[in-house]
Amino acid sequence: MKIFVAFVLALILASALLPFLALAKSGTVPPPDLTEIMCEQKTDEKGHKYWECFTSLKKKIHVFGTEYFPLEDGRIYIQLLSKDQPVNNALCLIDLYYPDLTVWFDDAAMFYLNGSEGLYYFDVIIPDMPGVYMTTVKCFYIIDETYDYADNAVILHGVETGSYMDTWKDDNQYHEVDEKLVAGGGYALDFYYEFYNVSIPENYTGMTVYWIGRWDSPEEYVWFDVYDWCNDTWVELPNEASTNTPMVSNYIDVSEYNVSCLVSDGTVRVRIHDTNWDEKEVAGHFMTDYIDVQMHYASFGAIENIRGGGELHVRDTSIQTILLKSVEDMITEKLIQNHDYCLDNKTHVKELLIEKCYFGECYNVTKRIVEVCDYGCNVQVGECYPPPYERLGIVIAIIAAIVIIVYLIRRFVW
Amino acid sequence: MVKGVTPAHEAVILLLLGIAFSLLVFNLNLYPYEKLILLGVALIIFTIFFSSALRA
Repeated sequence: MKIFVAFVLALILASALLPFLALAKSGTVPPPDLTEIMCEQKTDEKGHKYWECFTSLKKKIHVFGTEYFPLEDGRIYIQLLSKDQPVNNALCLIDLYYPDLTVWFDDAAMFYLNGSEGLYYFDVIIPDMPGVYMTTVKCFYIIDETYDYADNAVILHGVETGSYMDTWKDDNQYHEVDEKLVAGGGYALDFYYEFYNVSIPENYTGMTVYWIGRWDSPEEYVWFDVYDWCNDTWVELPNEASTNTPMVSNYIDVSEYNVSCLVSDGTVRVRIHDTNWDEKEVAGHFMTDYIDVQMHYASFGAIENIRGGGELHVRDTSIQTILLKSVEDMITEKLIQNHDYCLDNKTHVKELLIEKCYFGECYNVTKRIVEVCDYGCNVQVGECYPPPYERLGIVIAIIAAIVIIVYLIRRFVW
Repeated sequence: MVKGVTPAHEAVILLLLGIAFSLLVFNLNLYPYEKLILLGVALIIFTIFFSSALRA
C-alpha cells in the first residue's frame, strides 16, 4: 500500500511538471534545418528555453595585391587629372564586373570626395564570390550638377520608420522601409520618393539618382525605377541594391533616354521595390541614409567638345584583383533565439534570430518561416494543430489514463 | 484506507492531481472543445473522488 501511495505521489509530481514542460515547449522550436551545425538547448535568464547553434564553415580569403575579404568594405577610387591638375567637377561613371564576367554595375556615377584633389570613389561590400573583379571608369568634364532631395515618400507596400527628411544627409540616420507580408503572398517592398522643384538646366547631359544605405535581405535585390511622365510608366534603372551595395547610383544619359520625360512640373519620382513578392523567408529592411537626384549639365558648351578634350588622365587605383581561395574560416552563424507564434488562425510563423559574424563583424538577421496550417493554428501554444486522428488519440489516451488511475485508487486505496 | 493517510491528506492529493491535470490539458495542442471534453471528464471524476474522500 505504501508503495502505491508513493506511486500516486510520483504521478502527481509528474503531472504537475508536465504542464510546465508543455509551456517550455511552446516557446521552443527544433534546431533549424542547417547542415553541419551543432545545437544544444539552453535556458536564458528568464527561464526561456532556446536552441543555441554554432557552426564554423572554415572559409578564408587571400587577395592579390590589396587584400580583401568577403563582406569587407571595398572602395574603388580614382584620381582625375588634366594636365597634372586635379579635376573636381567631372562626372565619372564606373562599370564593375563580377568574376564570371557578368555586370555588377553599369555606368554607376561615382561620388566626388568633397574638398579632395580630384578624387572620386565608389564603395562596395566585397561579395562572397571568388575571382577577379574588373572595373573601368570613364569621366566627363567639365560637368556641374543641380541637387534635389526627397520631398515626400509614398509607401505602397512596406512598414515605414523615420521620415523622408532623414535622407537629406549622409549621417547614419536612416529612413527605413521594411518588407510587409501581402495577402496570399510573401514579403513585399514597394515605395517611391518624390522630388519637387527639379529644374532641367540648359545643356543638360543626364540625370543621376544617388542612393546610400543598406538592404539586409540576401535573398533578393531591390530595384530603382524612375517615372516616365510621357508614357505613364516606370522605367527600370540598371543598377540594383543588394546586401553588397552600401551605395548605388544610376546615371541616365540624354543620348539614351529622354530625360525631360522624367520630370513633370518639376517632379521626379524614384521608385524602390523588391523583386520577389512570393518570398516568405525574411522580411528585409531597406534603410536609406541619403538619396538625391542630380541633373548634370555641361558648364562650357556642348558635351562632345568636353568629351574630346585630350589631357584627361584617369588613374584607377582600385581593387584590380581579388583572388579568393576560401572564406570559410571567418564566417560563423549562431542561432540566438527562436519564437513560434500564429499570425492568424491559419498561419504559423517560426521566427529565428540569427547572429552572423564575418571576420569579427557581427549583425543579427531575423529569419521568418511562414507555413499555412492545415488544421488551424493554436494561438495559445503558437503551433499548428495536429491532424484529427492524432488529437483523437491524445483525448482517448488521457481518458484511458484517468480511468486506470481511478480504478487503481479504488482497488488499492479505498 | 492506507494507514497514516487521513481523508484530508487524500483530499489534498486529489485536489493537486486535479489542478495538475487541468493545467496539462490546458496546454495540450487540442481544439478548445476537445479540451472542454477532457476537462469535463476530469472534473466529474475528480469531483466524485474529492467528495467521497471528504465524506470518509
